[in-house]
Amino acid sequence: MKPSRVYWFLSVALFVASLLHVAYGAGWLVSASWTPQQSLIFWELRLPRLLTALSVGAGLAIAGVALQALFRNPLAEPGLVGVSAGSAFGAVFMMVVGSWLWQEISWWQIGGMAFFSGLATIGALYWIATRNGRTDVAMMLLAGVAFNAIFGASTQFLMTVSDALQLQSVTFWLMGSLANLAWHSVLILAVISLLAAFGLLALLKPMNAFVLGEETCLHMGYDPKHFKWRVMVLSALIVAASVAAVGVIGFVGLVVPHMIRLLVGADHRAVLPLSAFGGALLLVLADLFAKQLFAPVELPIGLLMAMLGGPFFLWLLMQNRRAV
Amino acid sequence: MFEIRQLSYTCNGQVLLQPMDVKLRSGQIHVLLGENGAGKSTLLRCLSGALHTMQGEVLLDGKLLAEWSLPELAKKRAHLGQRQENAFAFSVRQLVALGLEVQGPGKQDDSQLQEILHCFDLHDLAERSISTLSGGELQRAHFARTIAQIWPTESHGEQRFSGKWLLLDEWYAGLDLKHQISLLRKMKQWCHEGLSIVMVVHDLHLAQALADRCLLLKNGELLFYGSAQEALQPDRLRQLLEVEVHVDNEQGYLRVDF
Repeated sequence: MKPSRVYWFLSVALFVASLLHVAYGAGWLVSASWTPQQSLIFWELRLPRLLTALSVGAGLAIAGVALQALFRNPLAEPGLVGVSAGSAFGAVFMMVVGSWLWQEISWWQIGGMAFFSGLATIGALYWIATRNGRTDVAMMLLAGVAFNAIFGASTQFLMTVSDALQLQSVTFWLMGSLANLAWHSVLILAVISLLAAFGLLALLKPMNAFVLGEETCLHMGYDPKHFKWRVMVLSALIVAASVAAVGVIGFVGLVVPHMIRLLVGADHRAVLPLSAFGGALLLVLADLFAKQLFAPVELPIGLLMAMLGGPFFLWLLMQNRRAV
Repeated sequence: MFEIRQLSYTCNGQVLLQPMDVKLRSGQIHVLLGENGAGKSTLLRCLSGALHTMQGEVLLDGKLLAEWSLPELAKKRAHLGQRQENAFAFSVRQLVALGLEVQGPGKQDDSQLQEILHCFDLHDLAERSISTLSGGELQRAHFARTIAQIWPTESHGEQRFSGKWLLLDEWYAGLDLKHQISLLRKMKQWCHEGLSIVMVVHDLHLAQALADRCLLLKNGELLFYGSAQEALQPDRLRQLLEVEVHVDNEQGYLRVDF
């Protein structure tokens, strides 16, 4: 399919989904004139939540594309390989340890720690799974299992021994939630995701070359070392911003790029920007379901994504098994 | 012209290339012959600039490889390695286009893409995903992607490949006889048009059919460098490959004893 048609389709779908997302909720927001209360709900609850869903969805999807290019394998994904869990651990670590050291911990400290811990996870993963410019897929996925176990347990441990996190529920960090985000957090998340996305957009040509092999990339005139560093830093930025804001949400970076590739092929110049649209759409829809399905009880959105993405991942593995 | 000065390479205490001095002239086909592990691919990677921890110097057109910028080098020489990564399902057309794009924006147009696809008999496969290709088809696609990088864009004169270098590591892997022969003829043609080629070859018949000059490598040491006719002699090949070869110099005939 032509990428331009997919752009059109995704833009229209995204627009409609966004309208539904802000309109639906505990009480319709569709009327000729709003009461002050409705106006407050729109400006302070619905709109920031929509922006969060858009930023996180788009960000996680392109972080997925970037990591897949880095590992030269379409199965890499921030959640699956433990990068999100690493970021979450960094954030929680700063909250717990920081609360012993300082009176107050800023968003930047938490986000910064999430970033460095996520970046370290990517680096360690690359070191473990890639030798002589070749990625061992089994090693990558197994190391991801290990990282998820280690960071998941460490995060829970920190939260068990600390009472500083009473306000933040365990499910928030392990399952993700888009609710109750203040405007300034939303803006920081959106700006960081946007900047990192532009950084990745500048790497689309070397990205196409890099997936053909590290040496091939060099032979085609792009420095693979620079490329690797940039992709690691930029995807760690995106993942950290989203994890610090909304917790761990998995599978977005796996499902969306795969669907987009089925539609437009492997060229990253189409796949990366379209994945941003697709990821935003997926998360807006998922969040709509998360808050409406069992209203007034809200499902953690990470739970919903795992229920969706888990079977999808199994299906992908089966496809791979058949191909071999 | 490639000039190799006192080039040697040691990796993890293992000597892969012993010091050697060689000059490779433009417009010729140079064939690297030797046993497995003799250092052929390593030498090729030294020439391409992929290895930079070697001792000694490699100069391309009088300029150290390290002084070339990567994008400039990419338009000057192309390298086809032994193994390719194919996890992402580009179409054959996209793959070859990726090679052409190396030459910069606006430099590629559809006619060059068509010409390359035609040369490599890839027309009917152009829209196929590379993940569905057979081994030989895939090799042709990557060969096409490789040469696209240095495919002539502006001058269409007699020496349209002038100054370009093609470095090939077992380019014939998986190719059927028909395509081996057709590409062999094309490579000779391109050399007449100024292209310079360095290739690793195991098949002595291919070597004989293609080589202007031969480099004989054994255990990382350059045993001999000179004309193909001098290189492809029974005693030399016995020493190099430990096989018995009969050569009839009159008729250019070569036979390996099994």
